[in-house]
Amino acid sequence: MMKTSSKNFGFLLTRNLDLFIILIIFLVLPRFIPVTFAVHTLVYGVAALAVNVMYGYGGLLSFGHALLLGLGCYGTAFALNYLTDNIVLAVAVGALLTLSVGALAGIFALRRRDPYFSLVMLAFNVFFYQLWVGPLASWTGSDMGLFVKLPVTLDKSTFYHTVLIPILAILLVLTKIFLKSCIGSLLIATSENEEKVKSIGHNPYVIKYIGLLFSSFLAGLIGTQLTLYLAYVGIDYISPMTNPILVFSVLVGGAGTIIGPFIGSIIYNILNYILLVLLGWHATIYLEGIIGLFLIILMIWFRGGLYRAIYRLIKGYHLPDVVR
Amino acid sequence: MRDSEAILEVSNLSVFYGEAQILYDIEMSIGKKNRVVALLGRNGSGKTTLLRSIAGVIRPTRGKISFLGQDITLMPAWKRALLGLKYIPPDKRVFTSLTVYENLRVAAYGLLRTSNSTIVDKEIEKVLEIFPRLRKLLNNKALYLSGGERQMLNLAMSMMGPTKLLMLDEPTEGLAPALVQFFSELLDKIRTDFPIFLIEQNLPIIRRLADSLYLMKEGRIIYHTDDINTIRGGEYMKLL
Repeated sequence: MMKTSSKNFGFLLTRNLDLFIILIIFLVLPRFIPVTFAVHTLVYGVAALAVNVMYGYGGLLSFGHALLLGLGCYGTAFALNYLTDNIVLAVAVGALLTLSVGALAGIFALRRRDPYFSLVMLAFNVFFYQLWVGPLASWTGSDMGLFVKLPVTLDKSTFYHTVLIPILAILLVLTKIFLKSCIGSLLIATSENEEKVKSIGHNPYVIKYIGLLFSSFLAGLIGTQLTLYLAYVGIDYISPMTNPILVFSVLVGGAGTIIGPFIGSIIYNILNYILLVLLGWHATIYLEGIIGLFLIILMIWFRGGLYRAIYRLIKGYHLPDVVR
Repeated sequence: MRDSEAILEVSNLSVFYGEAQILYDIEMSIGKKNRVVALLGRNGSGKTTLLRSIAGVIRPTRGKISFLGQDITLMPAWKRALLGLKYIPPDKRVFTSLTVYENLRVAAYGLLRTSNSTIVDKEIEKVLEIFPRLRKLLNNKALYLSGGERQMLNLAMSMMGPTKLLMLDEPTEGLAPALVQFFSELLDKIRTDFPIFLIEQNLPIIRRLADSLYLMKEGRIIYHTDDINTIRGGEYMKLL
């Protein structure tokens, strides 16, 4: 009996090694950087994973996922400030708001492939951002951000370990299930050859739409948690300027892998932290330049992302384009 | 053959790529009694464009396509597949990032329109009987299959679910002689189940299997016969 269960665990571990690695990294991360940086690394990692579901697996690069992340943040904030004291309900409102806007954007954006998909997603992001800083400024706080009345407050480290880590685990497992499912296989198939997908009786538009809904759910749900952690929402989270961070995380870490976006997010946030420690708050001026440099190096020497480069170094052979 | 027994009817079909006209007023029909209808023509004569138009990949500029009495001219390709109009393009298309089993599974889910895994696995088992070589490759990524194995998988995927007409675009192109023989025997076997509309450069296969023949030249149908002896003779090749 004992042998069987340890064998099962071994099987589970090898099949889901990437998930275990991500969880272990995030469990130990607050030992090396402040918790708030660890939280941002985790949140951007999941949001980048959402971008990766569409790009790495669906072949559609989005420059609008900051909108989905931001709507998760603001949806929860609005619910807590104006509607309810129930945190679960507020999280549901945040996730639903994100899903609704994701569903609306999908109707238009998925009519075309790149670059139109990227541009329509960006257009949606810009439109909502303008709404947020303009007509809705009295509700959103515009660029001053929005403070949130939390009914319960947890110590930051406790919140990280007891709420964020379990949610990360759930989202990773859900992503794995989604990508392994028939609809996940079809999303990958659609990115390879839409004509063949049609010839076996599937409507590629519906497949991509479901992919975008799942991706919106990931970004929105993690956004809700950021609001609960900070008790504040900054306009940056919904700003189109956040999209390059998410795309950077996917490309640097490795598109088409689950672990890649988290590697990218860790690099971005640790870089941010180091610059902050060395140069103070105006360090962000240099950050974008360094990111640009990183991308140039990456495009020349590590096109598949750092995870693939590390994998090749250890195993001696290439990872496939898509890893699930 | 323009009667109620027709499975597929194409009338006055013209296709343009931009300003260039590729197909000119195509008239053709495939009947329920036909087993293998062959389409012959030189490269660039418009054969593939005709098949792609019928499959719904290309929207014709004018004309009408009817399948089982239903006007499908503007119907999306995936809906035509569900009607049983299956199209297999020439380039051995499979999904290389997926395993052989996953390729079969997504095809079965699509063409059977079911989420019942027992029915899906039963259908997969059925095509594995036809292509036993795929059985031991089920867990392999399609990326690592040989050309012949990819073509087997390509065919196996399209043969899932009900098939009313199978359209094949040069299925033996680039295959080794042993595999050409295998596919030729396979077509011979499956033609009793449903009609096949076949583009093929391998003349012996046409002579052996076809019971109806169309010749295409410069975007037009220039010759048609339903006479098996004429097809066996091969004299019509002089017209191309």
